[in-house]
Amino acid sequence: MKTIKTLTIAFVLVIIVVAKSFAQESNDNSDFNQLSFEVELNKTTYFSLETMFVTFRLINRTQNSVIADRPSFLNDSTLKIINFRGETKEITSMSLSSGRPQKLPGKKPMLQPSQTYEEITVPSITSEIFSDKGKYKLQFFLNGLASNVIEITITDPTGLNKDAFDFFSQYQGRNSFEWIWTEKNGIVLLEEFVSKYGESVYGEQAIYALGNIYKARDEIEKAQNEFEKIKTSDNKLIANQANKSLQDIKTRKMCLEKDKKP
Amino acid sequence: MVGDNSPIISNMTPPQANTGETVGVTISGTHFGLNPTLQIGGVGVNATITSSSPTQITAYFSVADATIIGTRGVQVKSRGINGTTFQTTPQTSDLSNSVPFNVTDSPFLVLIRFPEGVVEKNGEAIVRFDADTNSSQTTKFTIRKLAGTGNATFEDGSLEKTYTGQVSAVETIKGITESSQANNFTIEAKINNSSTIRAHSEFTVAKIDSIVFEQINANDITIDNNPGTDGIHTPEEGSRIYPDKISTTDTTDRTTLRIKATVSPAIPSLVVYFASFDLDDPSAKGLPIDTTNVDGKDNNGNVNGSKSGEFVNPTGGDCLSSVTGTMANDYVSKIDCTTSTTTVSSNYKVTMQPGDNFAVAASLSRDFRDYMRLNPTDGNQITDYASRAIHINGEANSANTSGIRTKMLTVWRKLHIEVDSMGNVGTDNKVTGAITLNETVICPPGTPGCTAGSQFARLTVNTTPALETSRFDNGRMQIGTYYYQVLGNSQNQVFLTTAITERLPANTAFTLWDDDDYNNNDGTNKDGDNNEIINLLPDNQPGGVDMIYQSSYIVTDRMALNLYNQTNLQFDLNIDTTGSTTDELHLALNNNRGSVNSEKDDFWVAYFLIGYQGKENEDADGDGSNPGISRREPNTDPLCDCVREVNDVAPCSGLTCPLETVGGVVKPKLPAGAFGSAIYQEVQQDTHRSWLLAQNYNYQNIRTTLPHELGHQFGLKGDIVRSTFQIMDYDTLDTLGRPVSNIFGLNPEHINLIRRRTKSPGK
Repeated sequence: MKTIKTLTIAFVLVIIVVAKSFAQESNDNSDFNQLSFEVELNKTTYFSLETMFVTFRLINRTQNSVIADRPSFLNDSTLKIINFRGETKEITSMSLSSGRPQKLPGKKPMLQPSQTYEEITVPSITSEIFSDKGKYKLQFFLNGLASNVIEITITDPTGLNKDAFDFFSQYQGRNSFEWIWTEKNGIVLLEEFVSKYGESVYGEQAIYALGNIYKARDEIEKAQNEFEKIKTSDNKLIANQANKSLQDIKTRKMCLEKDKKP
Repeated sequence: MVGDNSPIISNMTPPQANTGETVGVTISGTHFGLNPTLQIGGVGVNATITSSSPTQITAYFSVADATIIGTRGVQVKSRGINGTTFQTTPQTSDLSNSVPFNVTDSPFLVLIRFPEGVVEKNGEAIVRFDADTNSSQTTKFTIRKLAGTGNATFEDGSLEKTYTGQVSAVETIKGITESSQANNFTIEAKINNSSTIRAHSEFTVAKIDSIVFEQINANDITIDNNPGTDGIHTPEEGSRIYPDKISTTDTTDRTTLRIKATVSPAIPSLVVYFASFDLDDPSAKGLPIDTTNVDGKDNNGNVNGSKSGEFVNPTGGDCLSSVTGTMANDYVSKIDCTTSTTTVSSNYKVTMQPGDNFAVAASLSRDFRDYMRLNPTDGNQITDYASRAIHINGEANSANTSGIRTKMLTVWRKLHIEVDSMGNVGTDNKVTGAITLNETVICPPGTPGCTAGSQFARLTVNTTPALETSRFDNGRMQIGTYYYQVLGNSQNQVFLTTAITERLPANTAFTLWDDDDYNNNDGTNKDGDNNEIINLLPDNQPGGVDMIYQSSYIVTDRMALNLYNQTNLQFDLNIDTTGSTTDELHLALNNNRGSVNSEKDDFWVAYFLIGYQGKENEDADGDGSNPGISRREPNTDPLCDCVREVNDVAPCSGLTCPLETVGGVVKPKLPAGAFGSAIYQEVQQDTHRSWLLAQNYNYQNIRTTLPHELGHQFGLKGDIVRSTFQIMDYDTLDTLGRPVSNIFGLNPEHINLIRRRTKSPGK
């Protein structure tokens, strides 16, 4: 039995496309450079300190399968930023996380023709980088691949967004919500922020954070209320996170119901 | 007269002395009794009785330099036959008759200047002789023992020094063996072999018997044997101190300890001269850790600028002249403390940097103390003015030097660890759905894992959402009451290891479990760890990291933060990571890190969350595996590998830490480390099992994850496939492409970075 278990994903893929890829395997290669690297931002205009959600895509536009390890986009990419004055800055570290996936034995991560690796991420870029209002050009680089160039505009928040900005600017970490943990009444402050500025551009992340805090405390009704607010967000990542959390809550409720039964 | 017990002086010799002279006088008579005293009229002559009997008194008469020339009356005052009460009867008196003592003008002045009055055993003391004599006269200075035991000579071993004519000389007295009592030696000056002592000065041969560090507060962490970076104590490694606070609410200064010297004989007001030294780092010779190679002065921390620490007069203490070491004096700090009985002590403050080491030396001679130096070719040695090693407390004084020093004292730091872990996995680590098509497939030739020509089932399935590709490799499938082993899966197909020959009705229900088995106890009956509790695996015990981090003089502690440890956190099958400060990982760490406000420079904290799996494409249920992940706060510098001073262009195999300007000085900036790490037990086990199944290979990933992530909390980067940064790198591959765990240790660059930290890892 154990010997059979050694069959791995690569071979499973071989089986799936028996006729197709057996003949092609000799053409497979691990040349990452054959892939196309594309990047998309969730918006083109951001208010100061607004979170940028970046979708990274690696696309196989060749006619052959390409063996390519799934990259750790934030760890492996660098970012070149050109501001409206023509000044260039290079960001070499965009990940707050240390650690990347390692390949398991026998696995041959392979992108079939037209197949895509896609991941939505939030790069960590210090707030000073976009402190000046105006237009910026962004280009990402990944293991020798250059992305498309993206142009964004940074503007000052106004109205409700300005009020939200002013609120979190009083505290450590500002829009990173670090203050939830460092302020003595951080969670009360977060509840206040969500209550007052949940509709601002900074609000959805705060709502998600608050829902998660409730969830961790097993206040599942309150948590559910927060996640419900953002489960249909235009922001795909936020919506996905909220829906996963709602699924967790559903499971949790079922467990609690089971526990109640004699 | 019968009953008349009045003392009577019959003779006194000599009956005269010169000004500035001390003479030995013998008084004879009767009825002096026990413990008589002498009364000398006028001023300027003082008597010190050295012995007495009922019929004779011997004494020194010291005549002041500037006193009135002329005759004084000398009387014996009796204190009776038992030395307490004189029996008075009519016409008797406790005072004797008065005999004349004539003070004449001195033809010459003799002075002995020995201000300390102490010479240290094996040490030397300077004494100055002056005699205002004429050219034909000789002056002899003699060392004489008055009482008890001990031995002292002049430098050449003699007991006498004789000069002719006017004298202005400096002589050295050596202490050979210590005195049994105070002032039991005298130097006497006599002219022309006269019996008259023209001057005298008493002294003691003293010794510092021991010098030790003591903890000040009863609840200080005990000063114990320093185990060194290999964990095995040797005598030369001396002792260790933990200067950390002992709890999150501790306000007591633990950086200060007591340095105590014991002297003999017991002499009040004896001065012990202390000096502190920054010894050479025994764990490294050369860069990057040891900036001075074999010399000392290589500590990373300082106390008010002194790398050797600083002395402070304790409350109610009797220490003066505290000097804090500077670069100009090799960072040697000093203090002078006066004995009350046999012991003397000062407070002594050390740095907080792990691996910084010290020794305190002491002498009874200020000059001798001031000449002490570190041996530049062996910075663990403190030497005297003649480059002889000062002996260590408790060891033989083989070089017969004056002074004594402590053993090495090394700073170690405690790293207080909070560990939380998730609770019950529950019953939902599975997927259910319906089978829409059952096909039998023939294994193609050359396909590892199945015999060419053998048959197995390919099931097309309907699930919501679609299956995660490869998640169920090596998993299990239940159809009705039958269980099957799973080869693999795509988004909508499942491959079994055998064919299903029975007809399956349309939309037959199934349950799929992947190969999750975090504690490897399910055998082939994989059930998604159904209702199992997440416990710490032995290999994850933080104590295991001590073997690695002792190279940086750090040990872990799990007791101080015990109040924050949680063991039943809500289970999350996959902790998602997007990079945002509000992603699941960031929130999971922050939601549960009770010690978030406990981190201080003097109370270092690390945080671990023991979870199950990370994000889906890294959970070892596909092609990627990430058994641990650490997270830093935004707007902090990236983690780095090498500390370089400004203009230091030495190459770094990783990322060099940035520089910053503080107070006009450009210096390396150590990044805030990660504030917490998630350790994914199922991924660890799954990865380990994958290698075991695929290549019968015992991959040691489990024991490496926690110390690796801890390195990130210390601000270490690493994370490249190579062997340079040892535990901080990803494992290298052997010739068969298998990961080989790098050395279970830390690279010197990383040790250097840790030992320079002043802030708690996550700060």
